[in-house]
Amino acid sequence: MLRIRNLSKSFGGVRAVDNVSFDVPLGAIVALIGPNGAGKTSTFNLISGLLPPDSGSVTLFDKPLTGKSPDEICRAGVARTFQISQLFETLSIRENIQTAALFGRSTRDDVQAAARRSDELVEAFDLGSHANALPKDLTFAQRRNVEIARALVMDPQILLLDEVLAGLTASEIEEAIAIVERVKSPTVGILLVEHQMRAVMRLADSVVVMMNGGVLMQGSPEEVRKHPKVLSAYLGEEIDASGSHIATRSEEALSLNSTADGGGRSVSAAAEPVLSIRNLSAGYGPLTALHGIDIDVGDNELVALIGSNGMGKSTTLKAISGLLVPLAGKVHFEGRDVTHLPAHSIVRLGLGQVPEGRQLFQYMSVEDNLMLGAAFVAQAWGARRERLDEIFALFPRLAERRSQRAGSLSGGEQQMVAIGRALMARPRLLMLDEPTIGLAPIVVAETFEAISRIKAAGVSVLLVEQNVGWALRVADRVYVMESGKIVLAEKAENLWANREFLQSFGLG
Amino acid sequence: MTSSAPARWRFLGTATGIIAVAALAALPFLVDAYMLHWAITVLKFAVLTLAWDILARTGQVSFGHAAFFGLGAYVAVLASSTLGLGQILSMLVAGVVAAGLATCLSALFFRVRGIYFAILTLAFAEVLKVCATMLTGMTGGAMGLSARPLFGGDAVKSYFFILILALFTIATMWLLSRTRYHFGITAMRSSPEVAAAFGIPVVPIRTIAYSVSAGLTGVVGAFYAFYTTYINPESAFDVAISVAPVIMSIFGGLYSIAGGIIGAVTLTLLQEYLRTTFEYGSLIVYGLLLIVSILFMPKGVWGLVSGLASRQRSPAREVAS
Repeated sequence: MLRIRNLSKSFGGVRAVDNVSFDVPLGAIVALIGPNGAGKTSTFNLISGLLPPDSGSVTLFDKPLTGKSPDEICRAGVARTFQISQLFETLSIRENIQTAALFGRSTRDDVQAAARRSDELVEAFDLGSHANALPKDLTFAQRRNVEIARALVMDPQILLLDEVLAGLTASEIEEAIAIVERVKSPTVGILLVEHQMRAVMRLADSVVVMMNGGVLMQGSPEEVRKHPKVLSAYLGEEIDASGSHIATRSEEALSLNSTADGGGRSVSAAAEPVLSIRNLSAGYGPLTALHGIDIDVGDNELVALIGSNGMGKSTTLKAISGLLVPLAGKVHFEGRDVTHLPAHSIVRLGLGQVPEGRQLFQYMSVEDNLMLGAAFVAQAWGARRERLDEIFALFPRLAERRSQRAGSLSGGEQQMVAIGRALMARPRLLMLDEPTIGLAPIVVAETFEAISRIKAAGVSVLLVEQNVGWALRVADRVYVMESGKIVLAEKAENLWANREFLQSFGLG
Repeated sequence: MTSSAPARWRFLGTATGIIAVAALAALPFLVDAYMLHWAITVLKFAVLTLAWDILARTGQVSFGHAAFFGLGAYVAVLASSTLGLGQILSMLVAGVVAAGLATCLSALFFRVRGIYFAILTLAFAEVLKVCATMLTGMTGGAMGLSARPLFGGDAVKSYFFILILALFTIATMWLLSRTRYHFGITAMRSSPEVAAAFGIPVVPIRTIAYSVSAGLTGVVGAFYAFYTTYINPESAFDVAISVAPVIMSIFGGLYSIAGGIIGAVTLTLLQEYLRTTFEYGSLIVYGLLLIVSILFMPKGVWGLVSGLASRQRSPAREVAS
């Protein structure tokens, strides 16, 4: 078994991992959960040798792993996946898996034997038709499968899975859970870092909860779920289906005025949608990802765009914001044709975007990141100080951290900065691309609450979201995408009654 | 896909290789002394470029291979004049010394990567240049050193020496590409951290690649010293020696044997052609041609050719999309 004893690591003055001890026995699945910034990934990096610990020890069957290099630890029998899938982009799928076989635990494999073993996994993970493709041609979920297969081919004794379910839709999560269940065997111990509580409850034999670098508690999934400290620090309160507590909070809306100076806005509101998309098609090279879609976002309306990974949701946002040149169709923003305007001009007109994965300037301070959002938008620059105060009122935690480096913030705080940066340009409409990916449940709730408040302040919102339950709670209307087409457009409240719809998204 | 298509390509490759080697072996008996000199120069740059590419494949870009080139040149001349070693042995000793130096430097230089590594290598080459200038007792300082002409001035023998060195380099790289190290090296170029997490010993492999790369560069430097019969710090540690393999690799196609050869042949001959054609400004034309080619062929000549070939081989790709 993998034994972790009194593991500690500090960065600067911060104790990222503080005296952590737990075991991963063979045949068991241990889940490591906790808020963003609790030290889960750091613990992973200490075990796999990417970071040297300050003190404490990691042993595998009483053999010390502490102080060994990552490749030695891997050859000793500890394999890992990476949170953001990091495939070898210049190698084919088969070669990606094969490479791990060649250098992993059994280094006796010659190239042919490794190719055979990787072929078995290629088949087992249903990647046969993509074996010779490059990673960039795969969907998000397929990349995850390659990531897991690449770790498995090394025949590890301990498998470390770092958020392999993040960013997957409910049905994809089901598939991934099935894969992990299949991987489970008496000869492999699995340690998984995960925010998807449903998966943790189903998969884990034992759960370790981390908080502020230390172990808050360890126990069975049931014990952990009911523990009051875990509820308050990580899971947040249970939220009822109607999302009522969000509505009450959004009433205390802040004075987040949008770009237009009032003017004709209220007059045109009823008739004209703020954003109107007609017959939009777009693609990448020879691949067409969007096939003539229509979307409207009304004044002060929150519209959610949902669907599985690889269905064209992010592509839609890119085509609207000018990052991708559409093949056909029209995009009208406030009645003006913006279809072929460059991205920076579109932002200046008041169409803000929060990109997927946050894309902050990691080495700049929180305040500088926010300021940058207004720096090249003439109408926003003049009132930047006031605007900054409004952002800090919306996200008080950012005010405390205004001079910290953005890269040093937790995932949830970084998401706040990304949203704040887009708001600095005083957008009339805000587009958000999967803002809650990889965030702890309690932070997910906070983020949606913030989005509701932004809407309450008069900004229209177009939200791409994987978490359909939440999307239905906050949105006025929902568009469902499938294979580059809109297959359903409906008021959010009506969808709660649509059994077929709910089941297709695993909410039934 | 049927098995006949790859077999056909393999046959074509083998046939091209055999014909090329035969033509290269016959070349010195078919051309005049001027052409032979350029054939030798082309081969010299081919080895430099391929040697540089061996390290580049591991994800570390050197801008200071002149260090090993110059070191090889000085070691060989000194070994031959003061120790009385034969010229071929002196060139081999130069290679071993350059490789040994690279092994020692690895421990220090591979702590950093990317632009920082590039700057370290660039600076180190300059340090060696200053050393060669200052150590007047050994190196003759800025006055430089003279060497006995290689093989008594026999250009045909010189040609065969550098040809054999080039074929040895190509064979080494080709054999390497069939082992698991090919995958390890490609993986660490994508991400050294991830590669390490999959058991690939990143630093040892990089150290070996750097040493082999430096050793071959050292031998070429030694060859240059004997072939031109005179070296000084400016010519042996010339920044242009460091830059040439970078440009030739990028132009021909990075990380491939064919690309390195194409780059060395094309650019060496192009430079000479332009120099003899334009009375003034040949370097400007050369620079403009490089800019245009890199803009329109970001993967180099070989990247373009193999891209077209693979599209021809698998028309299914376009149908699928």
